[in-house]
Amino acid sequence: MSILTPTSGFILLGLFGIAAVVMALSLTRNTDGNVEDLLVARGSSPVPIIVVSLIATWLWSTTLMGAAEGGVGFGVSAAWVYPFTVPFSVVILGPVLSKIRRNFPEVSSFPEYIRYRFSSYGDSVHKLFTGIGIVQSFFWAVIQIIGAGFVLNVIFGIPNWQGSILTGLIITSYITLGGLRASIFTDFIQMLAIGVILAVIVPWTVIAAGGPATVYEGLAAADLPSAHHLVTDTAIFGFLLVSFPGVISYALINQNVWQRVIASEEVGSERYVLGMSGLLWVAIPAAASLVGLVGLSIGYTGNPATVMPGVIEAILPAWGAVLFGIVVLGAIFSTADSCLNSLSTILISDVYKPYFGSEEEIRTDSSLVFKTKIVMAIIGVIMSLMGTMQVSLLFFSLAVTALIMPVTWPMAMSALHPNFNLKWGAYAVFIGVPASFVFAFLPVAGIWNAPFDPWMGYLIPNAITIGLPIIGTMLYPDTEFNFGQMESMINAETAQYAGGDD
Amino acid sequence: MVYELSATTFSVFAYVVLTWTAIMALFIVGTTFWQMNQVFGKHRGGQPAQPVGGDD
Repeated sequence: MSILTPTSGFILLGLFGIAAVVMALSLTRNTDGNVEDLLVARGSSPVPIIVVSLIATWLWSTTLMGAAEGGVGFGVSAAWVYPFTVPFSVVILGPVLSKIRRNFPEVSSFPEYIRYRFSSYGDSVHKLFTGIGIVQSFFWAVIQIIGAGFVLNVIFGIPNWQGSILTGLIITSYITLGGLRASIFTDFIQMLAIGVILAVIVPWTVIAAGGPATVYEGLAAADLPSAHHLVTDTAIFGFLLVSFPGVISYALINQNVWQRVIASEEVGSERYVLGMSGLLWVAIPAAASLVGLVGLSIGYTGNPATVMPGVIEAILPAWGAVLFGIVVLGAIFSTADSCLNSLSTILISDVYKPYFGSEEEIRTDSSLVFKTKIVMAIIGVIMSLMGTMQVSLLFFSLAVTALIMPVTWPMAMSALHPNFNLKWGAYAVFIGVPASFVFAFLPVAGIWNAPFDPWMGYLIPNAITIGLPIIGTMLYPDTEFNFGQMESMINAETAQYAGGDD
Repeated sequence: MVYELSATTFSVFAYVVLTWTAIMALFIVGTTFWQMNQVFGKHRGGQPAQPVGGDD
């Protein structure tokens, strides 16, 4: 038990921080020395590395803890409901992102795509998407840093605020130095550890609990009705239909995903990258929910949110808990560092470049790199300080989901249909965002006791943001627009700086 | 009762999940070796020698 001390936790964090900083410095030794390269690293990384980095991006503390909590709360059905989310989003919206990347390879962020697509409508929609992108990246990072504080406290006994600040500062250090390259390669190292450890500790936990047959007997005898059923009403209406509309945006309204798809060295590999990463990611929440099922079968009575570490600590030796801590911290680091880099990208691509600077400046001015790093460091410190708050991770997650959910469909439709009516699309997002706050966020957060089920509240903003653009486009199709013009407009701004020397 | 799993079906389900997890881990380990070969293979002279000035 002596290994689970605050000192060992600090040593683990320190070693990881030093390794990450050395890696960041090494990765950026021979790079172009401009902000575009630091943050976007366009076409810089091999496809398999991007696949693994995307798995890490979709893997965060909730993927493990939330999926296991689903297992103990909903039974066997949770083992497919949570893993269903990312592949569902990839299948539905991955092709849209793939199309955008192939048609407009010089675009750096999802708000930037919107800026070009809605250019004839003015700046308002771009500013809304930019605001959403900034809030999303910022608070997702803060959520991860808060989670790191919890995990370090539970496993090593490090006070929450110290764990959060240390995590935030380590992430800030290596992302400020190495940008997206550091994020992708630390993702890779973290996923190597996560993948191998999960492939060991989950089977070990199931076997230590007596094997699948014993777990089944425990489930059949559990207090939870229908725990051994593959489909239950509660899982469908209480879990699937609430997560279903909320996670649709995972592939498209997610700058972390855009960053990685853009950094892939092969244009045209997007479907493979997205599909393969989604398929492999499925194993992680499915395995985590198996641990939750073990908890249910052995009569776990602790906090459902911590069933995964609780069961592992109860069944495996002490160092099993340390391994689990490494897995969760890896998941947290990989998502938080991606968010810091994504936020910086949006600030440069969608705030500085269009309103204060120029394409030329971010592609050629090496002095801007230093200023960008200062801004990244300041944002990272603010994230670290906010990460010391002791608040509900669920509350923050719901707020961010409610904000990003309504912008998904208008953006997808605008990429698929040239006759998309921009004005009706804009109405959809400006009505959809507050509608999502009222009908989805307030009831689920417990602030408003709504007279309908939570899943219905999530469907309302989706109905608005799907219905309005379709009606507007059918009634008043924009026959003037074509994607070729948009491509020409982007090329006119970027052609002389794009790396097309071969 | 259509969706009630038997002990056998649940065991198969559990082993499928565990196998999938192992495949995910193997993919990452395999990618690691591939990447190491890409980086270090060239330094060890693992690639065919290029003719001088022949890189067009």
